[in-house]
Amino acid sequence: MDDIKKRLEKIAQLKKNINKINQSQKEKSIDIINQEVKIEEVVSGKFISTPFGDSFVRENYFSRDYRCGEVELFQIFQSSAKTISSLARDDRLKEIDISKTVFLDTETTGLAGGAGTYIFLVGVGYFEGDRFCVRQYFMRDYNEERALLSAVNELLSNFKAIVSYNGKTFDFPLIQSRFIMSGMKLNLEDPGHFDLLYPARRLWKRRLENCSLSTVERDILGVIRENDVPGYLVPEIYFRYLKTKDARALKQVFEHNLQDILSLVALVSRMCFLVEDPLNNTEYGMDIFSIGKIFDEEKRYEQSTHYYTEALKHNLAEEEVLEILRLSSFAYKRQGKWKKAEEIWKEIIERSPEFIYYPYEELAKYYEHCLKDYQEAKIVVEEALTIEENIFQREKLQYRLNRIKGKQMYQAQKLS
Amino acid sequence: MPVERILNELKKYNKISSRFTDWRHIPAKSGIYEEFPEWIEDKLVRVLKEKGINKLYSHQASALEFIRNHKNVVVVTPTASGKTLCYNLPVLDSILKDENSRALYMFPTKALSQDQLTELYQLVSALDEGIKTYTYDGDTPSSARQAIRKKGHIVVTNPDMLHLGILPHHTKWMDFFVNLKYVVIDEIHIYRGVFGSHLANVIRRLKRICRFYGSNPQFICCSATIANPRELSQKIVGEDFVLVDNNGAPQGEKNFLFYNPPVINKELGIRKSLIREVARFVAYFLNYDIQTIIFARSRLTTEVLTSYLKDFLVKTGRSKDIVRGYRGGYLPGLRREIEKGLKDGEIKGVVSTNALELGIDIGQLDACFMAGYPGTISSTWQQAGRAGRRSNSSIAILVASSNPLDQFVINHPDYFFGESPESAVIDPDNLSILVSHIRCASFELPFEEGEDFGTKKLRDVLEYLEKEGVLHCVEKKWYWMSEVYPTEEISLRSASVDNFVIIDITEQQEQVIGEVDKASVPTLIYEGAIYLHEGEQYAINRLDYQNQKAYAEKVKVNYYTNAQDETNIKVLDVFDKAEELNMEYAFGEVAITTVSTCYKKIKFYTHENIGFGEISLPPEEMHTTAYWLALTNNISELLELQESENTSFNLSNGLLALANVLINVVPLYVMCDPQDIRAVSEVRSPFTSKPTIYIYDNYPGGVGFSEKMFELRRTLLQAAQELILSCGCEKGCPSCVGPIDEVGIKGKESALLILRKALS
Repeated sequence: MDDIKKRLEKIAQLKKNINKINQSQKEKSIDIINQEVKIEEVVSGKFISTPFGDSFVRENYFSRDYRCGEVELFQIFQSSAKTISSLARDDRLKEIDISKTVFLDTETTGLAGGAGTYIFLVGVGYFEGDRFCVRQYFMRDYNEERALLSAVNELLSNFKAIVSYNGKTFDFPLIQSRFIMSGMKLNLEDPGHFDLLYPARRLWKRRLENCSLSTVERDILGVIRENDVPGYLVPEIYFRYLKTKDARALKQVFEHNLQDILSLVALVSRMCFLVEDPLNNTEYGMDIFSIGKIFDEEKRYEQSTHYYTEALKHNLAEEEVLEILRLSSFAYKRQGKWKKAEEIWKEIIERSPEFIYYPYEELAKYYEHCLKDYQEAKIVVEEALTIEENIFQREKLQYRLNRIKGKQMYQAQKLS
Repeated sequence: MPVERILNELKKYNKISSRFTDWRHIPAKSGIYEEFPEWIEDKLVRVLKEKGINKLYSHQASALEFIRNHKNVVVVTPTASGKTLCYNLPVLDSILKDENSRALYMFPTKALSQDQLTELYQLVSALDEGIKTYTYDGDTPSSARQAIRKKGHIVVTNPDMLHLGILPHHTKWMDFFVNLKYVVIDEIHIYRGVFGSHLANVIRRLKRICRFYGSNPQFICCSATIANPRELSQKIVGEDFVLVDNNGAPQGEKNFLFYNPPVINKELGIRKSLIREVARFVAYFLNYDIQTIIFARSRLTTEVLTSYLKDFLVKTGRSKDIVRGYRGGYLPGLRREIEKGLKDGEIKGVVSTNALELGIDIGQLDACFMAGYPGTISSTWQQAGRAGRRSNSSIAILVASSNPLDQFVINHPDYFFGESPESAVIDPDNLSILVSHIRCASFELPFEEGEDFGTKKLRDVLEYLEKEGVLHCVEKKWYWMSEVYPTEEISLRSASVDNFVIIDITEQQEQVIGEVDKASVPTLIYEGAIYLHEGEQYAINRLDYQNQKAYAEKVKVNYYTNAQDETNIKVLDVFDKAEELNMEYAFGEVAITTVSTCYKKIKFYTHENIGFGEISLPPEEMHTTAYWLALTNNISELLELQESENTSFNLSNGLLALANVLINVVPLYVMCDPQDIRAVSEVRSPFTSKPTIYIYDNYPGGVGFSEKMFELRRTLLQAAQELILSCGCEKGCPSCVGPIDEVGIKGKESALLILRKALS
């Protein structure tokens, strides 16, 4: 059997050589000091016993006036269930009760998911009377997974809904997967789930560099993290700990996870305020535009045109103005407010630095089909045809022009 | 009947009939039928009867009975003998009996799974019992995936998707695995060598996941004719199998003809062009409206032949659309259209690469041409099997090229008809492959002490991976301890899946007309190439290597292009070496570089060379491991021997001959397919400065064959010697040193002399 090992090592050597040639290995910058430091020496917590053994948990409490960035945690109770469910686009959340809701975030051994990705830290926050409580369940080694899941399960059974950031595609399926792998049943079947990532994207993707939780909490909540550990390093820190039994670097991971959960709470209130009363809750035209767009997607055109108009009062880049004008022209059209729409299409033609086809087409359709004003329709199409940059739609326009001319002739005949 | 008429005419016409080196009649055979067994659900029987299937063939009945008795079954019968019913019937029956029952179908390619699904879908919709069948592969939209996992009764996929997309995410498939009753592996003969060794390990992983969910599926495999289907299935699945080969399908009379094109230059031994001979033949067949398939050995030949046949049709005033090309690189929609045209009979001729050798349903055709020997006995029978009606006569014609192997086979028909088809060899315990899959399996589920993975090496590998820091052992369980997805680093196939697309920019509206795998770029779509697509010519104007796009414009020129490439081997590192007797042996790391330097413009029809062009492409480089042996005798001594009078020694012939024997011998000892290794011989190798034979693993990174060859160096040479000595041929044949046309008249003797020096 030594033979096999010898050969394996030879193969490994070869693979290393090839790697050396193909690409230089990425250096991972974590210093190793081989000294066993237990988790309870690094973060204060306790062991709770479960049918599968002990599980380590840290508890933190936050009082009524605690602020996360600029937002008080308890402000969340002013958010209406209606706003939450519409932000989440999930009817099950219409009855959401904040005191029956958990704020959830996990730390894992990988970001790709799949059966070999483990959860080693589950952070769960919830309101309990006058305070907000965060419990962080930690797995000291792989053999404690069932204990961890069992402890988490016990807590979750008290709740009806989840708030997370990207939890719908990552954390929650992974939790389900871990329960299956451990042959256990999760006490939270199909909960209402408010995943803040999607509304955050709808609200801020036009303004922020990206919509990661850390960007959103920095730019929207004003949270400043100190000594934060970047998410991509988390798995490596855990593996290091497993190998060296030195838990010191994990402290940062606990803090990181804790902050994520507090940010979730603050973000819910921030989002609700923003959509309930946009004009008093943001100074950014782009935010108001985003809110108009949200109403647009919900087919609430009266509100959407209102906010588009408000957004246009801000100083915005020309290309954004054109986009807002485009959206609002269609929103007016759908409301049957043709005059307003016509006005905007004309404005777009006026403003736009280069040829844009659709306003001509829309105007022509409006004159031809709604007003049956064939003369006016003819003028618009002929104008579009005189524009040289317009190469691709010539055929379509010519066809339209012929039809309009035909109608015009027919009308003239009927009149005479 | 047109086929009979053509056969008579061929016989009558002396000038042609003399060029047939063999003409075999395979007599017609009537069908052997059995009633549907009683246990099959009535509803299913009714649907089959409505489709005109009133009875089962004997092999189908046997397969059903074995499957009912919980045996794993491998079915080996010719093309179009109703193999698919052998698995569709029991699978559908089990779902009708238990709505929760699930089945996994596996086909080697996406094209095949699409095709099978169409057939299965007809049955399922006729049943109208809400049975859901889906393909699940790289093209499945993510929005559909969840429904497939939850509701699919039959999921059709390929090994790569099982490896990459299903097993690592098995928790999402819980309901499926809990209820998995049958696993179907069709075309199992494709999984030979390294590919087969990979599949065997993917199946080990699959079975392990099934065990986790408490299921124990039964396996049903189908294979083309190879020497060892039962053994191959047993090795891949790791369980006992029953072989079902009592073919009961009726078969019309078949004619198998061997044709050698005439010599047109006696001095140089040049024969008439294979392509033109085949085109002429097929044109003759098309005049009689005989539906014909033509197998060509390369994509270029496929296209050139298609062009010739289309030209011919136009000249004779017929629609050029009744002949079509078919090969990898055509877009799926186009392929479906061609397959349908063949079934409908609207298409009279199809020129294909071996892409149509597998079970894609194109119905049965009247005639089959093989433009060049397909390379193996097994493939030849498989291609010939494409022609063959149930009741009428059919004809298969092998046309030889002037390549030595073709010439040998065409002149020794008994060799072909007498030999058994090739064996498929795999080695599931190949260390490098095994380690890769143990990594994947650890990701999927931690290993426990004493667990069974079908190999004795498990424990050692786990401990090794633990030492490497990839696994973490606690309480005798090995857990995955890495962020990376092990499956993504492991490809089951040697060829990369990277494709270049070809964009037609003739019209304003750009259009993708085809794709080409990365390895074929230097031979097919270099700048200046004429890319042939369904008989149309496109000039490649620009190749955007970085973005993997080639821009092409329709042209009309009188030539096509053929790239010249050369392969070089460079030793990078020596891992071990030994010197014994007159030889030195070594193995180590090498770089294999293939580079295209120029292309020839070849005139249509006359095939004369009318110009050259340069190709400037980065060389394709592969790092792998190689084993080599070098003669330590002084080269000048050897050359002297070669010059001496009455000598039967020729150094370069001898090296080539010995390399050929080794390629024949090595697979049996290192357990691989001949395609998995390559040999290069050099009279004076730049690295060793000696006459040298290199044999390398034809896989990036190597799979450990070279090391095994080094260890077995003496055994291999002895086996080579024995093989040559016991071969009945006079001066060489493909079974030993290779055909004389390739290794020369002195090849066999020279190889023996080298072996004597090495072994005496």
